[in-house]
Amino acid sequence: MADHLLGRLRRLGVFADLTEPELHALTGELAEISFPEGSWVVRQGTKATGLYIIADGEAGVVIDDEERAKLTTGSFFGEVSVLLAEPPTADIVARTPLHCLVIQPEQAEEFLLGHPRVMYRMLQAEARRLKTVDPMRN
Amino acid sequence: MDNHTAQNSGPSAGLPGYLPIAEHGVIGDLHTAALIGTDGTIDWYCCPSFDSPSVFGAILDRAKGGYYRIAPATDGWTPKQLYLPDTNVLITRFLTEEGVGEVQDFMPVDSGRTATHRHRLVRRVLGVRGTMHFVMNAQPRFNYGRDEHDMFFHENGVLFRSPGISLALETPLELKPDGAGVQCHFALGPGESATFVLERVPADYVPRAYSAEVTREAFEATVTYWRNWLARSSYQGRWREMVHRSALTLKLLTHLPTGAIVAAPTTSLPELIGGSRNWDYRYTWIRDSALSLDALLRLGFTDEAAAFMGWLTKRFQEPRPAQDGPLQVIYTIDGAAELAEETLGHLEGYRGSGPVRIGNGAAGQLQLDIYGELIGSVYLYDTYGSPIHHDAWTALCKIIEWISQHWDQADEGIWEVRGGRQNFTFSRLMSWVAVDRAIRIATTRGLPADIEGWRSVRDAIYHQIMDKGWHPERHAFVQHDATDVLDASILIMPMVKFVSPEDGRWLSTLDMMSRELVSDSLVYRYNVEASPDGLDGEEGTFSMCTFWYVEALARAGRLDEARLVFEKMLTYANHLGLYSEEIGPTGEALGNFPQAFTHLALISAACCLDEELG
Repeated sequence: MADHLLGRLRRLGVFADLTEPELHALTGELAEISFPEGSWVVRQGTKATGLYIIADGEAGVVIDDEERAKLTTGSFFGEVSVLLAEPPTADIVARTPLHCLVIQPEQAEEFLLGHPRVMYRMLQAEARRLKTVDPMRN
Repeated sequence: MDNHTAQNSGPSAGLPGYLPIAEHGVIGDLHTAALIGTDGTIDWYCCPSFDSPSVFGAILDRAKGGYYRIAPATDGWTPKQLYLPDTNVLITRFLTEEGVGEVQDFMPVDSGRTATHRHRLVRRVLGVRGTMHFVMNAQPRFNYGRDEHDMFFHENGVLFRSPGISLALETPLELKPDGAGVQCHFALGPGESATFVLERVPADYVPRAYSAEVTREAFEATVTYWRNWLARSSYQGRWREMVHRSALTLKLLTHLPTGAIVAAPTTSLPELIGGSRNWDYRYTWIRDSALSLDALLRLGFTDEAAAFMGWLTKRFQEPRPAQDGPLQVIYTIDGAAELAEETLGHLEGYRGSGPVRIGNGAAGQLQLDIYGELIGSVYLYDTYGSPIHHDAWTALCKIIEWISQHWDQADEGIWEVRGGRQNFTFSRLMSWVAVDRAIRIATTRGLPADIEGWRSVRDAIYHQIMDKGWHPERHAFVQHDATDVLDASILIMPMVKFVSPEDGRWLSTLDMMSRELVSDSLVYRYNVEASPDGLDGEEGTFSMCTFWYVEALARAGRLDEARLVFEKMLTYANHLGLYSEEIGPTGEALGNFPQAFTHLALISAACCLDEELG
């Protein structure tokens, strides 16, 4: 099982800077969770359930009943509610069978501080998301 | 989406067998180029430069070379391929029972901003009619399939990281791992589009999303770039679309940062299927570049000539051993002189035609003719571009001094024979051109030169060609002074104004060539059996020589014949108007593709024939 998980981790962009021993160590810190196609992964306004990284599959970001974006393998979601300890601001729905790695809300701070290169990658992705929606740029 | 299983069974299972060489189009960004088959497969792409190692090289090995395919997910489709008019934006269309869709392939050109050039290869897929199901499969194999790579999946695509280079494939669609590559299935209705951008990136890059608007802007900028470039053409004669396609192709073979021109963007496409005459043409031959400039200058494109002159001036200034001559025969596009030839034994070659070679061993050869082509193009640039500068003139005078001392020796000649040096008539002829054109420039511009000394050298070469290059029994100019074999390179003799096109010696040579080297209008370089060139195997007819034949016929007044040969030759172009180096016995394109030699000769022949026809 650990080897299988290791194979998934190696492929994900957020873990691209980690060495092989670091990836090994990571397998003990991450839980795996699967969702069938069409199921809700995160619901707007509920309690934060974790920081999710998509290992395989495709998810939709739904706000006010409208799908605003697609998330694919390598994407992550749930980070805003985990970092701010607030309810999620969007619904996430599995558009295909979805396989995720999840970091529990109470472990997120320790995880991110313990893996600064992963945090940097996530910040980069976050910055790109901001750039995309920045009204000054569009 | 039920019928994708067959496409999913392995990393290369979705790739059919070798397409004919002619079943390809080419796109480029003036740094490098990609070949795209009519089946939607990119099977040749080197990044970031023409002579960089391949990322997609399936044209040289279907299983190991790597490819990047976008095609209908169903069987039974009909492909069509065309260029967006007056551009190098390629459109591959797919017609199926369920609908029609197309892929627009282009590489944005960042003219003037080369330091930040991103080497983007954009594939924009559009639904036209009905609902089209597509499959995209990208299988990079870095460094000619010799390097492993890692894949990292990000929110907006995947990063391929190899030891030498990293590429990002960016798309909002979900990419699934497929062996050492990725794949993606998607459906498009009328008016819908999907975009895939493959771009060179740093090893730690996070792929970004390209909006439809950004993609459309890049598309429009690329179309505008090519149309603005072509609008500078002054050609108004017959066969204008073919001439302009040749010009666009020659421009694609130029390297914007340095001004160099490559002979072709490919390596080792064979001169005969199953044969060993497979060479790497992704370099700058002084000869090919000079003749390309002649062709572009004829059409009014002077900027390319100026850029190449800049590249050339740097080569003049590099010290070389006196016996080797002032210039090497071939350089890399960056001007490096080292082109060690290497065989890639792990690749089977196009349809099993090994060996696959990279580098080029001909770089170390002595080919005296290059100075003729070179100074011939300097003369044209001086006449139709801008007057020669002092530094270039000083360098040119040194070349003439060297030729004066060295013209009378054996060399490997234009065809780069590997069977030993000979006193080739063509090499003498082009030495004559070098000295003659230098005299013309000096006289026209009033530049300092040893005109009397140069004239005596020129005349000595002339007399030697008339004495030793002429074979009295055969009534023809022959390949070299120790043979009676004919050589099609000599077709250029009246074009460079060495003899009158109606001179008796020339007309009898032309008659002999028509009998011995021309087969159904197509021209062989020489008779390989009669003139061993150190290489095994036969070859096809050489397209550049056929176009030279057209010119020779036209100048000799045999206009009807010239026109028919030319029109027949046009039928050997592929569906896009592209040519490789040679044509096989059943009309198939052979050799590296597309090839500058053929396209420059087409331009020259069209200009000449159009003028003669009035």
